[in-house]
Amino acid sequence: MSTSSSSSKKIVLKSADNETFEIDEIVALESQAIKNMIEDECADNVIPLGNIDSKTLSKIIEYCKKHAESPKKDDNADIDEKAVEDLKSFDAEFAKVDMPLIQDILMAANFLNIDNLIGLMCRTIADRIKGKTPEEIRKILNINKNDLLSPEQEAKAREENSWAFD
Amino acid sequence: MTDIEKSHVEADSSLIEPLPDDVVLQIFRKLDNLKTLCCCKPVSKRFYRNILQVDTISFITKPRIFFSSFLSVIRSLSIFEGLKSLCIQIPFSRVDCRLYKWKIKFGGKLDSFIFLSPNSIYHNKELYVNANGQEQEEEEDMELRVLKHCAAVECLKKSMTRHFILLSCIKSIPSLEKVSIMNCDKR
Repeated sequence: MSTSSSSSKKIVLKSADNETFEIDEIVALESQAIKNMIEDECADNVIPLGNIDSKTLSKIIEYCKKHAESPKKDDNADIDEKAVEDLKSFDAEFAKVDMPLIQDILMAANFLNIDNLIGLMCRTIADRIKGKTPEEIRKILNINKNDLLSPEQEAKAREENSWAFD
Repeated sequence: MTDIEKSHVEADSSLIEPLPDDVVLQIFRKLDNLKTLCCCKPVSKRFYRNILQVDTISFITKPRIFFSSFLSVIRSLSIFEGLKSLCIQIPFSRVDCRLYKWKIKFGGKLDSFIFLSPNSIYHNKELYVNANGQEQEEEEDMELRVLKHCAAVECLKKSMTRHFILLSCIKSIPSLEKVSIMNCDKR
């Protein structure tokens, strides 16, 4: 093990389907969970992520890379406006994926503790159910039939806000 | 976008189910708009349970609000047990004129009412609701004056309504820490 400098240190992540991803440590540090593991020195060369598949993991790495490269807000007060805009449009593009992938990313981001990404995915889901009827929301999120309210409960829930449906 | 979503309707697992409650709640926090939250409430048991934990809500009323209809809104708000912050926006109605500015202070009763119009200023200290300072601005041409008085009374009426709204919110929702009532363009 002869790592030349700490800035170029590599971390290897292994997905549930055994694909490995070698990334710079700085990128991995976007995940609070991995950061804790590295700080506690309980991270081996390879970090196995048994509950994240390679498709989701590569999306997450794409996100972390971009965010690790961008200047952080607390680095300096008058941060480059262009960089902020650039990151915003990256986030907007990044979120243009289908709902099951959004849910996978959200689960994984929650597991890896990547705050910004959790926020972005929650906002994306929120935006997609905004202005929709309860029926449409059930379709979008594919709500399980056995999680529905009983007809009486549902009538009551609608009754409580009948003014919202006019 | 909707096409992508619809193609997954056939999939057999619910998308929200595996998510922990705190993440689901985060989604609802991004939806602080009351109308949207109300549409989410009947969606499922999980939604119903989680939505009642939301602590920040905002909504836009109709331009002309009647106190009786507002009571039902308050009733629907009172089921949010942990509600801390409420933001109510009242859009301009067509009688509003943006040239007028007004500021009103309430203590236990009406303290002061300042009304600014383009070419004159009313400043009525210690004004009561039934006495609108009619002795002012005598030399002004009659028609304009009547118009301004009407506008002033209208503003006063509006602010009284707002004050009532505020008081009834505070009374019916004990957990509230912050309420703001504003016009749509004064974000």
